[in-house]
Amino acid sequence: MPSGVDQVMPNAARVYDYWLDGAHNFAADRALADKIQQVLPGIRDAIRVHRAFLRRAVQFLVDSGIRQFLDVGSGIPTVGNVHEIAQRANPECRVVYVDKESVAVAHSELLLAGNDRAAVIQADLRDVEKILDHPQTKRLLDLDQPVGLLMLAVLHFVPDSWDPAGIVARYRDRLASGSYVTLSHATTDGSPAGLAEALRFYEQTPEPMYLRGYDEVLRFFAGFELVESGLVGCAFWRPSGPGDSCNSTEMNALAYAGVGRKP
Amino acid sequence: MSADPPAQSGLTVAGLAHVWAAAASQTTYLPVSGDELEQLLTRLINRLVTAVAAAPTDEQAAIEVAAELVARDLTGSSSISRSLEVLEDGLPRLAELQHVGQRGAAISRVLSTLAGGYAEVLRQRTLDEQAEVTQALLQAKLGTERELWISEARFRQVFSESAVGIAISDLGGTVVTANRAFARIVGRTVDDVVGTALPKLLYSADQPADEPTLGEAYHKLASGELTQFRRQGQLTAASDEVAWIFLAGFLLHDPEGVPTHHVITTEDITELHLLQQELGRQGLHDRLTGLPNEYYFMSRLKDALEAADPSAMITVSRVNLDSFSVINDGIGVTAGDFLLCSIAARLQELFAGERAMVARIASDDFAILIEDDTQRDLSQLAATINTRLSEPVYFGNQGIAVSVGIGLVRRRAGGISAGELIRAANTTLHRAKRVGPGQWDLYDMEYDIRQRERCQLAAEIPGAWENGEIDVHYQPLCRLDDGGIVALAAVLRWERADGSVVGHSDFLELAEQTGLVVSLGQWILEKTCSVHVQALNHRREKPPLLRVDLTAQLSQDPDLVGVVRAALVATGLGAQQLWLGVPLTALTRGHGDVVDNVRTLAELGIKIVLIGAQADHGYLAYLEDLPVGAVEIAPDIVARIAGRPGNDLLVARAIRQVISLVRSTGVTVIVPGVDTPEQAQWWRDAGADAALGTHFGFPAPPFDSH
Ligand SMILES: C[S@@+](CC[C@H](N)C(=O)[O-])C[C@H]1O[C@@H](n2cnc3c(N)ncnc32)[C@H](O)[C@@H]1O
Repeated sequence: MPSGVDQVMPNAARVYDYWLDGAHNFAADRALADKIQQVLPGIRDAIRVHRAFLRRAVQFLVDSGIRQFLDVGSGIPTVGNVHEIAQRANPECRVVYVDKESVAVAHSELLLAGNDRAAVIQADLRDVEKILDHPQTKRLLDLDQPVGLLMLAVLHFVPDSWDPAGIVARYRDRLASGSYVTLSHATTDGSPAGLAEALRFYEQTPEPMYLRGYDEVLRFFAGFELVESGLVGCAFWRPSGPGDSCNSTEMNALAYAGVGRKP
Repeated sequence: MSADPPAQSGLTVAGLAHVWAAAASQTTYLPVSGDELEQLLTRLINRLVTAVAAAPTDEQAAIEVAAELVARDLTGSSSISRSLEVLEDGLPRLAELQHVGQRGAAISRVLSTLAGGYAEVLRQRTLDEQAEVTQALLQAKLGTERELWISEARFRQVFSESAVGIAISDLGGTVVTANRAFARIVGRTVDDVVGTALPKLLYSADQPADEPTLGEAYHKLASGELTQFRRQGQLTAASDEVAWIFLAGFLLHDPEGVPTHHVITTEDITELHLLQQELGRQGLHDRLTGLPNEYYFMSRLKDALEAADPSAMITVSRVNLDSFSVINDGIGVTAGDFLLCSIAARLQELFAGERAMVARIASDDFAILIEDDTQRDLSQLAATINTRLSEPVYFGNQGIAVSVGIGLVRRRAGGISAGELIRAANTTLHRAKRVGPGQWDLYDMEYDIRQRERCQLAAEIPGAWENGEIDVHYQPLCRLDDGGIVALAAVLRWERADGSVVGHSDFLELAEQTGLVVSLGQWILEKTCSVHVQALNHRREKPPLLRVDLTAQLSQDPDLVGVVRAALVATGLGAQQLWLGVPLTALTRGHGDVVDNVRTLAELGIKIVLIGAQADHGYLAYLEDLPVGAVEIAPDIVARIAGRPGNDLLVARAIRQVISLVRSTGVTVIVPGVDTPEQAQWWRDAGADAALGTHFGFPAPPFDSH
């Protein structure tokens, strides 16, 4: 079912952008974001530390020699995008973004105009073959070389009935040895006050969330070897400075995060 | 004390950058590592230091720093305020700035420019991002290569319900379609808008000379000279409504790349506009009158105190309008604003050419700093200000006249801080205002000294208590019908080493103010009980009862019951022999501990006296709910009735009624301060049971009390 450009219904990517103090959002997004923030006041901090994880992970991948990235569920371009971080670390880096949401995609196109080392594809993450065989992917990524696959804050929009672990495995099987998967996933394990209520707000949107426990998230790394710090609350993954965490343990671990290497 | 203490805790640029980085990185997500952030902030601090040290201060540099903060995504809702806090605190402590004269004012000038510049740049960026997202939206619809086509109907729905105002016009500028949000912003209906030329619908209220008008911009867009344009600020709709909006225009192309339409998007930015006002408040000048604001005034005062010769005199004057709200509410806010502006102008005129600063420090509050002010006659100064300001101001053809209250302080620059000086001016102003409108007052050292002496005195209490300077005297509490002694009331008396005496209520008030009273409680109870027991042994008479009054704080002390019990055990006094006075105010302030204390103490057999009863019925409920033994009338009621005996006072009639109600519940009524036989007679007639006062006996040391 195609999801159209929908400015009236709030949308996860733009809500997320609002929490990151971006301005790529509409009144409906801000209204939902504010409602959630009222019941879960730490959410902004949680989003901030998650975004900080993204920065550290991409930096880690570049430092580990990765030069090509596939960011699935990339969202609205906002503060500190993958290609900005990667290309700042090494201008050779190439990035393919994938999102199913058309405003996010149109927006990414605007942002990427003129950057011939990055592109965006509109697709559902389930269409693994379509994504990996897309002309843009073929142009930018060499699948015979290691790739950094990013699936950040996206699998929790995927219901069990789609078999998310199976989807990750399909990507894994097409990636060269030495590739990495970087994955983050919101959890109810810390059960912060207000989370249940916040989730109920999401249920009224077209994108309900499916939060999972530690073991379930760990299963997504099947066939990968977790690198040091393992699968942890995202603020605790190789923290490097005061901005990487906030003063709430629950918000520091609202999402699990980890990086795995395909042997 | 100097106002800008030279680096009391010296700070390095790197240290400040570290503090700033930690604070800023908590306010929003910053896409850099901790080290990179510190490097960036170090660079910015160095630029600010240079800007502050330059003469005149380099405001352009401050704006560039602001732009860099926005460009580096320090744009969380609290990023700028946290940053300003850190910088305000840190910059004055940098060794690099210690040599800069008047650095307080220089720093605040640079920081307020930074704040203002930040709001401006942020607004620009938000405009850009909003335009981008709308453009993305339209391209998502129009893009032919898009795989997920959106149906026309779907697009219509989104378009018409969007919160962003969107109008699409042909290349000639005539609107072909617009949504409701757009129509609302320009104050028309959608039907009205369609078919109208865009430049007729919206134009800039404050058209900058060097920018094309909206009409020109539309043309340039069509001719390809511009690819897009942006406007922000006050845009005036044809309805003459002024709206704070963002506006962005760009071209739509058909799939072959030929321009077909203009798109104009608008969004209400009132929120952002408010942000800027908020930041403006942190600037140096008051927007209405253009006078320096409180922040600027205080930093100038600090600088002045620091720079002045310690023996130079500095005058601070506070001027406050009398009943300004009457003008604001009665004639209108515009008139009020107009009045404030003319007052500002008049004050500035009065001090033109002097080393003085006139500032507006709150809505109807002005302050004047006069440096090097030795000769001036201050009463003359007050008169001049009052005369000049009371001349009517004409608003339309309506003359408005106001009077002002003035507080004046003149002090030597050495030995006083800016804070102390403004506080002194404040108390002086308040004293003047208490007298009535149009009054002025001079700082009263005496008054200040009395206040300070009181604090001094309070500080001596613990020592006095240890040195045995505090004594207990007793005053008889007698039956009104036959004059027989019912109880002895304990009265504290502090005879100081210099022979001066602090009386009971003064002493307790001091102790209560300082919070000492709770630790004194145990001592007071033990001392009064033991002295009483000794006196009884001495006299071998039928023992009268002992009455001890608690203060409000003591009554709510959770340990009170334990303290009382311990005193009884230690001295051997029976619970039935003790009356404890509890202030009614302690009960009515609704403290649960008081009620618990009263209940438990009464269960022990102690008689509870509620003291300070007024002529109303408010407290009667307590008599029903609590085991109260007696009620004592408030001294001010007794004094009032003593001033006009008879029953014509309303209070007199009311109190008689209350007394009969109280007595009907079996509770004793006590009257304090009864000093004459006539008063005793009156209260006896009114139905009271017992009384204290000089008519029945003065407080006296224990051994000759009767
Ligand atoms: C919360 S955002 C995460 C953005 C970014 N990855 C980050 O971590 O900052 C989730 C994004 O996943 C996208 N998404 C959700 N379900 C998807 C699916 N089935 N296929 C592709 N993208 C999906 C949403 O459109 C949204 O932009």
